[in-house]
Amino acid sequence: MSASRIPARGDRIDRSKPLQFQFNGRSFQGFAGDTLASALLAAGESLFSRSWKYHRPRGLVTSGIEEPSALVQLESGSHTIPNAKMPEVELYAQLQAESVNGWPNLLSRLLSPNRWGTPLFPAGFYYKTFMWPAKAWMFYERFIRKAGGLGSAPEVEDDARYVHQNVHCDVLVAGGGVAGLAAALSAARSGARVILAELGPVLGGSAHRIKGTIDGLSASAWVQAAQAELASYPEVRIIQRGVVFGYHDHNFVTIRESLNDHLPVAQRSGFRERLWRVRAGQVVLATGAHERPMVFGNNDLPGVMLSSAMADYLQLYGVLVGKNLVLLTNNDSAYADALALKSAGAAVTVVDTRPESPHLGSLVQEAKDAGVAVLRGHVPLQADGSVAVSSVTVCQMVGDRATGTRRVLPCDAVGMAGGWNPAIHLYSHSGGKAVWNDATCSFQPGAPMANQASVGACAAHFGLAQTLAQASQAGANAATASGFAASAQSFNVTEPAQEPIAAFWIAETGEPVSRRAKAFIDYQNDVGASDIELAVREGFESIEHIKRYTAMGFGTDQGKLGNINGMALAARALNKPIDKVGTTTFRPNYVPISFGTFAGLERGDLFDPARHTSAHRHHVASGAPFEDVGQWKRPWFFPKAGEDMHQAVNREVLAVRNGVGIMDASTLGKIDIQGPDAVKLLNWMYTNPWLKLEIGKARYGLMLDENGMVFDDGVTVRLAEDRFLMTTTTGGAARVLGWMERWVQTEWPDMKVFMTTVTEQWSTFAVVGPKSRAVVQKLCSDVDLSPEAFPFMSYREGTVAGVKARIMRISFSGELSFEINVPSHTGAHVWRELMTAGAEFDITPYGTETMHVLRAEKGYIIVGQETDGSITPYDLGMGAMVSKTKDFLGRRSLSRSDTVASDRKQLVGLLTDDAVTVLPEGSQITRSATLPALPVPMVGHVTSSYFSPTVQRPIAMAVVRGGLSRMGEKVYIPLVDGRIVAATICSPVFYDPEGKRHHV
Amino acid sequence: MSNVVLESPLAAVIGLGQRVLSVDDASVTLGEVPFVDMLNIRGDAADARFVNAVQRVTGLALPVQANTTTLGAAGQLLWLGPDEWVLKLPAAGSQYQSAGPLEAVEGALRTALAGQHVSVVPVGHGFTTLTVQGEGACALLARGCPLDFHPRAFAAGAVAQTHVAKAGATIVCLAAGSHFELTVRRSFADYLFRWLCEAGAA
Repeated sequence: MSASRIPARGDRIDRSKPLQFQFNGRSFQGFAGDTLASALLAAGESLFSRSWKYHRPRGLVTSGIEEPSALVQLESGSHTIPNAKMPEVELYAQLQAESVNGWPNLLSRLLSPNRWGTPLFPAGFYYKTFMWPAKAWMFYERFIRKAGGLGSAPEVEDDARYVHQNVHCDVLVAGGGVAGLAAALSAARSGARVILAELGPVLGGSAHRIKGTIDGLSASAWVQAAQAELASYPEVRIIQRGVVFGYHDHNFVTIRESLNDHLPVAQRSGFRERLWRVRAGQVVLATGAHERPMVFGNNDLPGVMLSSAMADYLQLYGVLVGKNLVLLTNNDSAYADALALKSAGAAVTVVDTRPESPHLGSLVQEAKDAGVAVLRGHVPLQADGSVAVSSVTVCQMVGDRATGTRRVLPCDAVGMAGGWNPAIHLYSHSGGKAVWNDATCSFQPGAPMANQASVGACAAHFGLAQTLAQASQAGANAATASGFAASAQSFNVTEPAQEPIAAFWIAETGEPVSRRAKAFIDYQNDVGASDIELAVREGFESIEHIKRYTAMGFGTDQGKLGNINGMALAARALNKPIDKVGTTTFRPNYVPISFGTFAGLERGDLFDPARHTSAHRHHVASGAPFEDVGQWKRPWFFPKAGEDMHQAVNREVLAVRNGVGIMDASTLGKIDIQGPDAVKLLNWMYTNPWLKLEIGKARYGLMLDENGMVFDDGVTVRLAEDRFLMTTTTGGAARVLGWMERWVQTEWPDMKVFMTTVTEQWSTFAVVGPKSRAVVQKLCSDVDLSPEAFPFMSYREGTVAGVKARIMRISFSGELSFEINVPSHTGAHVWRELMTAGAEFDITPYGTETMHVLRAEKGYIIVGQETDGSITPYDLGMGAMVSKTKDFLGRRSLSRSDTVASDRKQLVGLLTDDAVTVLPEGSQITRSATLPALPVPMVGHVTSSYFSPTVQRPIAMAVVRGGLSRMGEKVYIPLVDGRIVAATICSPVFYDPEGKRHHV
Repeated sequence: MSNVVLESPLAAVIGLGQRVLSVDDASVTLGEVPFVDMLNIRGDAADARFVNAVQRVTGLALPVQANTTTLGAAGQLLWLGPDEWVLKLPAAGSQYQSAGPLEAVEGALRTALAGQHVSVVPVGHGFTTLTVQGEGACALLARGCPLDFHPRAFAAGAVAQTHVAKAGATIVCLAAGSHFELTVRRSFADYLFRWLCEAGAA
């Protein structure tokens, strides 16, 4: 191969803007507009990687996203991109790239022993060889991966930013070639909202290779005009560098727009990629087609590439890949390429599998006239060369057999034009089933899915006039279906007459494929024609199994290049027509997409909302660490200087028991329930009776699910005859509201009740402890706080710190307590005033940890800690909360044989015999002082466990089988450190069992 | 204790200022309208007594078409569901009032609706209001919300209960394509504000 840059060609490059870049540590120069592939070709490079299994030298095969071999690790550190395909990489100044599979040296041919050992590495080799012993796979794998050597995952955090953008349109056109532009134009002229997405940096697709004219213009000139017209419509959005990579249900389509990968690293700013989430009324697929390689021996030698790629490198980048070219073909497209290459100064021979015919396509004649040598009725057998192709052997067809004269054609590059595979991937994503078309020798879309059309080459329409007419009509239809008045355009097209393609999959020489030089199908995974045959011989018949056994199509090109050849050869080996073997289902994503694209902005501290209460800044200022409770940030404890958590919690607990503490309880769920049937609803929701609750009184309730299991609890206050304020657990707020709405909306629509969440309307501060009344008294003059006037479990409205407040005398600590609810915009003010007023009593703010200890000392449960969705009120020893005289949700489940069984796990207290050990929460409980044989019979587990500063010893709550009838019995808790701790079952109420302290 | 000053959930991040953001070179201004009094109203839209009473008291026609609003000098009445609305009163300043415009409207509504099965609940302290205004407003919201904000689909006066990123939001369009108000729960306000700033950082 002796590629070089030639003058006067290169639509995309700007020769006045040279760019320096580095490849494998060497410096190169290219031009603005180059790809990494074109710039390296122009510099004479031809060897870009070694294949992963056989370590064969590999060059560039394509000019697009189907490239299997020329992969690089682009840049390093946080910018690194593994397995970037060189033809996709736009060149920029100071670009740095390394071959991904060059280890240790691309040019060291000695390191390709596998090349000569091909028969030792058949399909399924790794399955067969490294199966045993199973444990050794981890050892083998390191070396196999290294030898396989695709790119390296980034090792540092990606500091690029990514963003998502939702967008709606009437018509989405995927693909910015001639077909896509024609469809977009007729849709856009109607005023419809149109999005045209093109994966490349410029529009046009294959226009530069089209022989013909549109309305008197070359295809490329027509593209310019079409783009300019589209850009003039305000409702049209053209997304360049935007690959449509997923086509999901209901025309939800995802596009990755690359925003700055084409810029020098130092100049990149803003978002790296944008994920467009498109909801399209209609989708027009105009994704084109990928050229098919031909299958012959050593077709992977550097210098063997797609014929269209040769034309692309010439016309787009001014790179002529060789001086003496052989193009292998079975259709007309190679002749157009040959004409271009010939006119650029190369000697070109076209070897056509089709026999001489009196009805040659007009391009064939044109090529002959231009001096292109044409060899008809010949098929390729084998390429040869050391590190690059130097000749190709072709064979004359005798009938349908390749048994005629063989000729060796010296050359420095070989083009393959094996026909075109419509890019039906997106159609397949949408659920469509491809069908085989014998006339075009390709799979093409079957029936369109809803609100969708395929146009141009992706619909196997390879003629220009046909493509334009059909695409324009599809665009007009799409706009019309979206409610716009649109019509198709007629075009005046000239194009060469085409001669039909002839199927060619491999030369039928009569020799077994396995005895010939290795002929590759999937270059990246080193899958050859013989591997397909082997898979079939070994009994695989489904194409899905053959794919998996041989790994065909599992590379980063996802089979775009080779899969159809593989299917055809499987059909040949199975002796079935190709449509009976079928194609595989293409799934998103059409190209590899980085994780960052999907993450978008949702990373770091924007990954999930952090919900703050109204007094949050006071908590931050006091240095409290925060505990995550759902999305809420709740103060965990309030350490003083030098205190650890244990010391802080001990101090906070004792302050509450002996003085006064204050806790921000704003996160508790609150639901305002109004209506004449409000009390009836509550009576259904809670296990205990509610009908007779007096106005101004509060009551605690347990809520069960349909299975009779506790799922929330809380205190509800009767504000008025037909109005209640329900509180729920912090985590259960939304669930409880949804639960009640579900019952009211679906089962009891006649119930007259409305529920409104007021969780955030009210900020709740619990002032707790023997001195709490004195503190509240200082700030509240219009409520009689005396125990007689304002007893436990009652409610008053009044003014606290100048703010209208709802005050509840309820307690989750067992102490005298006032829960003060104020409108949240005044929360910060009221918290500060309470702290100021409490200063003389040494008011102590406390967090969730102290709250947990306080309530555990009292044996109060926390739903989700003592309960886990399998605990009934009886299991909790709260049977007295369950009404015997009314119905409620979950009631019937409480009489199931399982829920009434006597050995259910029941809530008890545990005191460790050593009075020192704080049992780890979650510890399993056994009845045996020594560890019995595995599996150890478990009788329960510890649900809550703390050191209690109040009773000065560890306390624990646990659920134990039959625990309520085992008071005083010993149980044993094996710890992970090997110790077995003895404990005694007791009541879970460790402090003030008579409840005297809160009745004051 | 008469001088109680209200505090917005965005006090720490926004102060009284605004943020000028940009989306694809189009400018967007993000701001806050704090301390908007709000009443959640439930009732029967088919009952003329209810509809008339709400209009008489609020001065705003009850919007009964889905996703519509009545916007006026007296405030905003937003359709939230077939039997649910929210009334947003004009912002009344940062001074706490125990008997202000909200209490007056609430009291008048209760009187006018006496005997009907309705629910009237003050909720304004549970929310704050963000404004997103400018040429890039639609595009900024679209970075976190799947709804169609194009003027053809979401004209002035339209309302939707939706989400922006992971925060629930009720979005009202004040000027098609260029001016929106987001009513967001106060505990999510800090997150959403920072999220929008990041989404609109060039």
